[in-house]
Amino acid sequence: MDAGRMDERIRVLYRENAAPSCTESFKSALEERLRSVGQRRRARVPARALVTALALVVVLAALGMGAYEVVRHVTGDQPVVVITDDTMSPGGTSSTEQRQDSSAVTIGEAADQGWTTRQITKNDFNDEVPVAQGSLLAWRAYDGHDYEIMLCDLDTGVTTQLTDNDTDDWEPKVYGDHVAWMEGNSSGPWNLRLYDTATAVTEKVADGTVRYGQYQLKGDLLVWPHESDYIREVRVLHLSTGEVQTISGWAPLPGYVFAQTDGRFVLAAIEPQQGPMQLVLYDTTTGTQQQIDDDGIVNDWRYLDGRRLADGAVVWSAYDGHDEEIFLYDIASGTTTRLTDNDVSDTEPEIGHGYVLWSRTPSYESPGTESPDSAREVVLYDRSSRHERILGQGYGRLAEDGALALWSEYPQEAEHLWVYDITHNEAANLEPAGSGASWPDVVDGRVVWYSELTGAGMPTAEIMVAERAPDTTSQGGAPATTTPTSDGLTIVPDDELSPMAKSCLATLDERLRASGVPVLSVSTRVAWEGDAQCVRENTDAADELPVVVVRIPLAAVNDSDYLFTTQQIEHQTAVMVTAGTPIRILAIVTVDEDTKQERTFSMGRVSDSGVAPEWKEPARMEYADAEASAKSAAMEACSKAGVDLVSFGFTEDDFGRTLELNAALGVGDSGNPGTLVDALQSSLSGLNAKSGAKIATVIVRVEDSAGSPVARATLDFGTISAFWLAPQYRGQTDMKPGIFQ
Amino acid sequence: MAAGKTVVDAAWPESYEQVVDRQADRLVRSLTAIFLDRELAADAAQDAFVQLYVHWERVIRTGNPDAWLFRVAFNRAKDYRRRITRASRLFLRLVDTSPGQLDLPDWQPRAEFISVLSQLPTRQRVAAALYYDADLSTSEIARVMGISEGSVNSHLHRARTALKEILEAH
Repeated sequence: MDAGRMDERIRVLYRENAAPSCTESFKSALEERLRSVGQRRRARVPARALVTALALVVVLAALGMGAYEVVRHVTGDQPVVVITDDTMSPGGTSSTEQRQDSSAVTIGEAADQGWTTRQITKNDFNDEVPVAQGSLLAWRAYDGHDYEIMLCDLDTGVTTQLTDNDTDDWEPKVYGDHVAWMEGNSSGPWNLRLYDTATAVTEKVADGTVRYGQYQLKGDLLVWPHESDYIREVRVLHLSTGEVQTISGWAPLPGYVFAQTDGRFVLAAIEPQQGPMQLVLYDTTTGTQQQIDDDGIVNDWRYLDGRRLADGAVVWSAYDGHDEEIFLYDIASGTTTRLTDNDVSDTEPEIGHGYVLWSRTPSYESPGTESPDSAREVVLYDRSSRHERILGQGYGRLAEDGALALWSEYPQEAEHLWVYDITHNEAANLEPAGSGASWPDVVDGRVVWYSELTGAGMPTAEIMVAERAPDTTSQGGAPATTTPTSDGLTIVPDDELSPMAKSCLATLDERLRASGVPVLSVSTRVAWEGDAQCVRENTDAADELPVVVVRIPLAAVNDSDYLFTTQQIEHQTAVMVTAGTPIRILAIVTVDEDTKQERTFSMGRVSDSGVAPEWKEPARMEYADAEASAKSAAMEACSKAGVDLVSFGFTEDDFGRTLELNAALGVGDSGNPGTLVDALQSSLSGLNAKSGAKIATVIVRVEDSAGSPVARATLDFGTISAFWLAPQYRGQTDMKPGIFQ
Repeated sequence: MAAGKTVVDAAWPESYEQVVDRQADRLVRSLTAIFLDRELAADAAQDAFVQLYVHWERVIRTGNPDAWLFRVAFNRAKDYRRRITRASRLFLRLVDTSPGQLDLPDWQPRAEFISVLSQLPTRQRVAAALYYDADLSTSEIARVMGISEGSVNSHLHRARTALKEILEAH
């Protein structure tokens, strides 16, 4: 089911289960409360009138000055380096206008590495969710009434419509000479159909007992869970013989069964009604099966959509009591290996030849984590060297042959689509056109996805394929004098640096150390994931300090100084950029000084004059700026109000960040807490307008010398939403008495 | 609404009453789907609308009273949930003679729907309710939740995956 339909169905689900409407009752009750508010306000007007004139002068003076200072601060040139999901990945962005030309067959290319992109479909209806194997490409196509299955031979360019009926046909899978798909409307039941390209014959393989999307076609095998009232089985169809095997016998009856195959083995993930999942591996050549020691609770199998069984191994993630870790079962040796052991969540693994790829997010318990999903990383693990590297941020896929990996910011409508040639250590941005790439996959040297493109009429989803000529796989080449590091970064020796580059590096190094960053080294001319990137950046930047990498000790991250450290690096670099230093890319690498292992964990991108527009995304640095500005505003407001700022700090929960500001009256309980809140309201409102509401909620508390509260206020988006002020201070502010609650 | 603000301000094309008409149901529904407590949701929504009334002139100058309204309502509901147990809230209702009591019709959602929602991390539940129930855009949700739009999309993706299970099971 495509996301649009799914969203609509979920909306219906919400509507069906929504709290019943109570608008009239609600409005009636609200009206009564508003009358009450109005009565209180009117009763207090005379008292207010006695002091308004004097207070107005005081407040305006304080407010005006504070507002001016804050506005001056936030509108001034702010050196900002944005480090975001986007910035983790190589390759720049390019004009979308060129890519939106749907009339061209080739709509974009990553020229440095020979990638070209073909638009396979071009019509007035949606073509979605392509899958490929060999030269065959299949997808579902809307025909104005329902979805049909299409098949294209990429070598010949010939497209064939495999279905033409009044029922939805979707979730195609292709292997060898066969194409399989599900037949049935969105609520099921679903039949399983199989098409043989050699005979052009379609047959019904399963009738109404298949769970949506849960089947796989590989080699000579088509496998699917067979489910009915009291049956949970895995069915295996041998394409060459037509024989159907049944894998069953689980007791007690499991809730669900999932199945995958590599063409010989069938992996059944059995989810019982209670308790952890079990993994059973069935050898179709011998008829034997073995239970995999899962060493934990397999907890992500139900979201299975990746390649979990391949290359003689099975991968999965399991909860270890704190977070999810990655496990690998080697079929030949019968051993289970834990690939990760850390304090972050490693999930959704895929396996290809020699490699495992998975997602890594901070666990919810991680301190200082703004949002786990915002820091989702794609990890590539080399089974032979046991070395892992972070490819970038987003959602990743790994080709079964282990030749290519793929990642994008989102699984749907991703603005960037990066493909990584593992063998040649090259990466390129495929620059998806139109709405971006949706549900990309990588297989057999090709990348497939679909994008909504704007043609003559309404935007329609079209199928895209990226591929490259065989002789252009390592166009970048490695400079003879460079030394690759374990992260694929390449450092130019100091003696090859230009005087300007040396000077810039020395300046940055000095600035970082002065700001407290525990710098190990500052280097330049570093290639990110391949030399082609380095060459391209060098060309663009006229060979002057195009790339900088800062190495810091891993301990700086482990000590929870992550934000401070990275922000300082970003900030100090940005200051230099603003001053005219042409730094193009900033990579921050942590170094484990015991093992000498390195890991690039953050990367920013700045242009010659500041933050490049294409990298503009709300990020930590903006928060930091907003926080700094908020603190400046708070201190100024306290000064104007004659109170002392006691503490200033941010808390974070599921509803975002909250600034908590505690103040105390001045000597002899002097000062005006009402003015403080009023001034804050003005300054923070302006600040939020500038920063995109980074300081969403502010809680202000003011106490007297005895510790008694004299003011409590909550400001949302810089506007008071709750305010209590001790009565003796209410006449000293211009605010309407009705707001004191 | 007698106490409402009937004059359309130049800074915002709607009157206060129009905002109430447009958002009352959505706000209560969304808060209910997030906090899974109908009374808490209605109370928080009432409070948020009262605050909107009190601060109307300033809020409309922000150009986005909807986001402010949802933000305030979330904070109120969060405070209620944290500070007041359900029992004490009921007690307060009994002793509170102030106007503004709500007559709430029964809410009887499907058990599996509530089960899935209750298992979602709060951020996913918030994002899903605002997206599917309140029909806010992802940029509006990002503003209300104080996170990036990319994070909103991630939360929505995960919530969608979980909710898909209900749809597939039926």
